[in-house]
Amino acid sequence: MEQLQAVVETRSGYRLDPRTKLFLMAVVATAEFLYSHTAFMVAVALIPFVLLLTNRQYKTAIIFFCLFSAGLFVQAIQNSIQFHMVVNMLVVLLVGLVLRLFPAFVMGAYIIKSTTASECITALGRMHIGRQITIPLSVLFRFIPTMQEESAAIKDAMRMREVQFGTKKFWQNPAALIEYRFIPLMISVVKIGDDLSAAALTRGLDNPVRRTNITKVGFTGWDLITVLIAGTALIITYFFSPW
Amino acid sequence: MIELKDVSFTYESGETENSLKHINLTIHDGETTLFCGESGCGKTTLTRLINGLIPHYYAGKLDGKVLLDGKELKDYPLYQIGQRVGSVFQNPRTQFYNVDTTSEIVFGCENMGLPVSEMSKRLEETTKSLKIENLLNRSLFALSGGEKQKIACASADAICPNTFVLDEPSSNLDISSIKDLTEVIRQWQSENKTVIVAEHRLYYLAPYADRIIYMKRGEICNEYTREEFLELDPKELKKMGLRALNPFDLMPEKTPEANEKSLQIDNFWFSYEKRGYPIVNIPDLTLPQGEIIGIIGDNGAGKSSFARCLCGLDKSSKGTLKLNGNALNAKKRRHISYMVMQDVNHQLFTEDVLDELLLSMDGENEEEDKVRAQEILAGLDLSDKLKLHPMSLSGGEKQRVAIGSAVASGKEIIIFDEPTSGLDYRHMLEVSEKLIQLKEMKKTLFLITHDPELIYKCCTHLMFIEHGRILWHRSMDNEAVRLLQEFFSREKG
Repeated sequence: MEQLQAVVETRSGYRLDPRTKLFLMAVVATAEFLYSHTAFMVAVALIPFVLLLTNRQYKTAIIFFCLFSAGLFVQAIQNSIQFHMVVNMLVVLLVGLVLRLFPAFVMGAYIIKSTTASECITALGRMHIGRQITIPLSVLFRFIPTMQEESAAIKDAMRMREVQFGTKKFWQNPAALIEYRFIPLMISVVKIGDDLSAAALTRGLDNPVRRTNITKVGFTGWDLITVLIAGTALIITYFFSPW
Repeated sequence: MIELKDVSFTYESGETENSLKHINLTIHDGETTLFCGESGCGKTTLTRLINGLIPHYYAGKLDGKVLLDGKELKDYPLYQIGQRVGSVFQNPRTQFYNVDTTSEIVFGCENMGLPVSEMSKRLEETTKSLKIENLLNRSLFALSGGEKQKIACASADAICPNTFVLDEPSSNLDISSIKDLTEVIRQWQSENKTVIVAEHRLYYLAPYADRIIYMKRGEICNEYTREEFLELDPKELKKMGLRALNPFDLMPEKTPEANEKSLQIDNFWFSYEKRGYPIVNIPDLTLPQGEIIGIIGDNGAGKSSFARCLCGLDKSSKGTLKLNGNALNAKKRRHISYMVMQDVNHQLFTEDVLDELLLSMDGENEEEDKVRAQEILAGLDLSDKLKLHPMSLSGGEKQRVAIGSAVASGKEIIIFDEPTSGLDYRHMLEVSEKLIQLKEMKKTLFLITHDPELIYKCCTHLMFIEHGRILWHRSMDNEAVRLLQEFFSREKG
């Protein structure tokens, strides 16, 4: 019983509806391509950063923070230092990548970690998206960690057989390395998918009734507050930049 | 009540294995029925008929009638059958749909559209009756196989069906997890549920089953009451291709030979974090060469991590292995050791069996390599499979191809991780014969296994790991057998 209390406790508190998360994702992905002041870019980056903190993904948050700050720093000093042309190109490319694409990547990391598969199916169902889309999508959620596990095992197996970069066998046929990595992965993923579907169907996945969810899916005050704060920050920094 | 009336089934692929022929059977409410028989005898197919996966998911040719409480199952959609028949499958890794335990337990209820209050009530009841309070709200990927299987049982239980169908549920479990599984089944029995289990391992369930049905080549060959079955002679069971009813108290069949050559382990040390708690910590260990060394210990004691250290798979593992006068660090150990993984699909890469072996050879002289590869394959009874795709082979054949590639690469240490999980008596025997064959080739074998029959069959040396340390290791003598049995009885609880 105490355990059950604990569950309810961790489930309440700050959480967003999956739909809000998707909306914020769209906002971040669009906003990061609007050329603007540093303040605006910081505001964009802050959205996924703060969300990561709320979901206790501290490691990802810190890495993102460091990279983004480094990106800003390099951008700031870029004009005062003369790099070699090739180096300069690389630096511009990398900085652009970090400043303009990473917020969306990190947002993705947050969404995947903070949304359970079943929340996702329910929320998408509420958006009147058909099951032919929601079910594969929720399977995808489930599959990412599985693919990582499988892929790690295959990598081990390859190292054990000394099928790896730089060996004599490798130079004879470099493309084979990719084949060896992916074919067992595909085969096992297909097999797992098959077992998984059978198991899910015996639990009534194809039941046409309206699905319920133990975590309450639906908009709360948190969604409103989050969207308002994020929106205000973006608008202010976009139109009235302090810098 | 479940009735099968003259049921025959053949899978779409047309293979005769796993098909069923003219099955007539009635299972009454509240009965526990155990289906046993060699692999391919059709017991899994039978479970699929009862939970509706045949014909709704696995297609094929179905004749006869499968009735649940008088209604024919093929006329009802799977989600309706699922509310009356709960299913637990063989592989704990591939039957959960969610990433966290709590969502997984209530997954079936959510699909039924139960109101949240009812769902919470069921979650609480299931949690209590299956004693899984400590597993709630965890990531499923962080659980052990046994814990995952418990969640699978809980997920079936929360739907509140009257019948539970379990398809080889103990295949991937260790002895103490099997004990937990037995308790779950006992719980269902106490609630007067109908329990149907297809299984190779018989020791844990036979004492509680009401009926034991022995199948052969798709037919019901014999039916026993519990008392009759428990009276069966061990020799009779072997002849039927069944696993022992008391696998823990057998006698070792292989004796160690006097062997001067040894391999020496110095300061094996591995931890996930720098200066963290060591998962493997073996300051000094001398083991004989050319033996079959069984590695035993609890779940999470460090058996697999030790094996990974031995193979040099973890770069950060410290320590050396002295073999034939050479001190080998982790990287060098990779040249002399090989692990046959539990899921052997991960280690077969090429398009045909012969290529698979050639890949492991140095490729200096292709003609010579080919001849040698063919010899090795002949020794593994794979001569007729040279040109087949490894993935088209059966599980045992794949395992043998993996063994072949280890032999081809001239590795001296071969580690087996649970090579007999989910195998019937005959296939277990086959594996143990191959192990002995490798030993005769002077290979040093390490065997991580929960299978007592396999240990008694072929191990000549045992080592016991606890908290990453070796508590004891010795040749398979009377004292080792005593210690082994002590370990088993502790695991059995």
